[in-house]
Amino acid sequence: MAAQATYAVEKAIGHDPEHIKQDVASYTGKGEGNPAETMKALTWQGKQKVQVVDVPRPKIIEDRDVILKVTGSTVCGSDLHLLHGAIMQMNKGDILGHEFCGIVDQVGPAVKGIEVGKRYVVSFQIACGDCFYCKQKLSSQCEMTNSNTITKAMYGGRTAGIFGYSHLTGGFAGGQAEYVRVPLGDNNLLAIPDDVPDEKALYLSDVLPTAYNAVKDTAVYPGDHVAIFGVGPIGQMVASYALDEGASKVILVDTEPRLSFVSGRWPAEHKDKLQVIDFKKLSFGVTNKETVVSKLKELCGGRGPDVAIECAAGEYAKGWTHWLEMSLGAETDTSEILNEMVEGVRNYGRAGITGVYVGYTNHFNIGSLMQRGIRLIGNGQAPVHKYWEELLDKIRKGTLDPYQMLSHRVRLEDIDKVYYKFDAKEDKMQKVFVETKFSFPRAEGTPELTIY
Amino acid sequence: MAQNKTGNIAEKALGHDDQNRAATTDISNPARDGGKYADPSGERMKALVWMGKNDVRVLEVPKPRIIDSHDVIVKVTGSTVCGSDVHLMHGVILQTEKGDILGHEFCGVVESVGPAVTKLSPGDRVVNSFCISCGECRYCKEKLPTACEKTNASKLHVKLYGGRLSGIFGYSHFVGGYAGRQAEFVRVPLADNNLMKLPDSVPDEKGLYLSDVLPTSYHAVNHTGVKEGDNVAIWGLGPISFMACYWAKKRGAKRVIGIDNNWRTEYAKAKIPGVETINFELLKGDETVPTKIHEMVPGGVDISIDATGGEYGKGFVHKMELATGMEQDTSEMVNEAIYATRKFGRVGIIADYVGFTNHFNIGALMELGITLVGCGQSPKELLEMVESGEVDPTIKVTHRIRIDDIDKGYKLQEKRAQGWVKCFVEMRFSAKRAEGTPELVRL
Repeated sequence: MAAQATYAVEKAIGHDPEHIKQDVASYTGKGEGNPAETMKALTWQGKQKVQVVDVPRPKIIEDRDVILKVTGSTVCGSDLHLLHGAIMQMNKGDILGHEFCGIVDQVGPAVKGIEVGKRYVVSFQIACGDCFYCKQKLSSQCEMTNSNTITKAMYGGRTAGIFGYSHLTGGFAGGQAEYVRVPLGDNNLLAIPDDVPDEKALYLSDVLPTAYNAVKDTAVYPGDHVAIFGVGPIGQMVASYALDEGASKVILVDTEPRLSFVSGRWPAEHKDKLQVIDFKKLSFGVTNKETVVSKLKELCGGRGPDVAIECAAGEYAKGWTHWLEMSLGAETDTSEILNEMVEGVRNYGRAGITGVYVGYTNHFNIGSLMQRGIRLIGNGQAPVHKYWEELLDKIRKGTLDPYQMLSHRVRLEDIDKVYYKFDAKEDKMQKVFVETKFSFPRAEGTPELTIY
Repeated sequence: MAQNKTGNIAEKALGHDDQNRAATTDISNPARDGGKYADPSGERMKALVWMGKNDVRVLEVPKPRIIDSHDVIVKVTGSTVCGSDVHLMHGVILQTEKGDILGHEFCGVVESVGPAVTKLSPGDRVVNSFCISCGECRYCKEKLPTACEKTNASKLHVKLYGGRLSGIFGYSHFVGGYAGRQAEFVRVPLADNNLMKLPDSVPDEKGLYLSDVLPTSYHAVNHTGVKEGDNVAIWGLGPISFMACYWAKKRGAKRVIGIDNNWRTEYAKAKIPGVETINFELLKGDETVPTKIHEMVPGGVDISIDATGGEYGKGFVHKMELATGMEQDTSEMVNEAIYATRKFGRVGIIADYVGFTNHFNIGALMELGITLVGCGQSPKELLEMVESGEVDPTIKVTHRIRIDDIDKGYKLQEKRAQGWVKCFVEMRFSAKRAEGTPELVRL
């Protein structure tokens, strides 16, 4: 398993100097947790295997730690990459989950401004607030929270530490659990006002800022034609923000059940701007048959949209060449959607990538990019701290509605089953709210509990 | 090579796209189609002609004539050889055909004008734009002439890229198949829009480079947004990168680092004050270009510009994949650039990349928020700077040769031999050599 082999390599090479404690991924190590008090948590057990188990409760290890009692969590499309074994440096027993909110249970001695008993949502990335990137609010690239050397070797740089997302990002135990240790708690918690229920605030941890970053970073200008590849929760919210920016046409590229789900929840006043392309009904590659690219040209005056935003990810090969190359390890990501975007947008157009891509790809159409002046924009892991206050404000004013993506409410005990259902796109599952035994009563207007 | 032949066959199958063409395309040599495009006087001229992979020759061909009403015939007084002409010589550009005249940079004197030409008269000194644009379509109106929709009929191009480039002189049927400018006479379609008059105060040896080198290098720096205080790294030290270093310094970049593997690093340091260089052949042990850049500029540079070329595989794997057609371009330089750039920084590609590449580091690009900017081919407008003396294009001119020797010139350009950076090619119609420029050499 490549995933575990690289973890062994990392252990051999060693970390860069740690600024905050790394690799506390399951609270089972010495001094990391309290084995007398256990809790439920979703852990990675190998490729295609996740399981809810009992683990020790976390405790304060560093001065700025905060222990959070979780009242709301969820499952991310990018958690599925972990399930698939597509992300390297996973270790059996690692607790997953990077989107969670709750009530503060304990604070470390150096924590300022955080009150025990109050409600907070946590940013998926762990930022220090002081370094070169944090000062610019580019919190996702914080230099102090991730000491992993493999990512530095692969990328020439590394992202901030991320909750529940493998040792590549610092190995921090995640939030699909009843309790979480939040390092540098005073910089990574956002207070939730009383008038905002968990079912809205939770998504400030990742989905809402990530989709917003995709739109702001790639840039959508008034009047633009925008194509969105993949309409899971991120793609759905990207569409919503694109409309806010004044897009005159929004084209969703995906298949069922998602196209119907998102079309079904589309704001009525913007019905005229919506177009859908079901890629399963089309061909691909160099051909005279209809393809996603030819359809995009047809829908946008023969030239193609001004902007395309990728919200799918590199692990989803369509054709057998890429499937084969990925199986053999000849590449780690497919270039199929990238090529569709580069070829699909108009000359001097823009293509933004927010879906997770991790390594190397083959057959990338660099000729089209160079000759036609296309900008390929890695949106990066979204800098949550740059946007979340602004987005909380929009939620309170009623101009941002996270409920449009919410499809199910489930229990933490069932979260492993949910992973498999979500992966298979069963039950028209778009985005779930995971309740724990500490959760508040269900907010009005949100889905009722489903027990699996 | 096989790809070139397949490209030609594919185009024949897909069919040309002749709707909306604003000019007659694919007359890459007046001798084509039984000579019906040749000047009726039967006059002949010297021209540099592509005869196959690594086979370019100076031959006698018919003089061109006016075909469309907006055409102009120009008597050439200066031309040159481009690094990208070397890609054509190597046979890596799709849809090159035996007999095509090459060359996309020239200056000269107008000899005759078609009936619809309004801004030019015989006797005018002019320089061309390497790309042919109509001036009226949506992209031309936005001053993006290389994206012009009306001057290129290649359907294969559209299938491969999803969109079309404008026509380019002397650069294969992939981009319109227009006869090139390494000749004694040239036909210029849509002349009012594609020729710029040169004032008397600007000699050919300076004005010529307004056709390509100056706007292309300027565009690379402009389009990637180099601004005061930025740290910039530039791959390759041919004429484009050389001038890109110059423009970057002019814009107030704090540090400019040029990268190559030969004497051109010394040449650049001598001619452009403040430029730093990395000679990658001299790197030792584990050092690579990106690690060296991180050492020189901790955290990486703000902007990287790749001005090398997709055909230059460095390592064995890419050389093999290029040779066997598994990829058309290497990803090595672009990957180095992504790696050497700081998070949320930008990487611009102005070098010629034509097709598909493998082992492209998409993970780094996505996770670190890097913007990869395809510069496209560039627009124009630098005459005032040349006129006023603010920019001196001759700093990169190292040789002056005759058109009879231009085929040997290609080889020297390819090998970067004899201190060759950029040449000036004189014709029998050329004006006297301008003072301060290199003297004529026979090759």
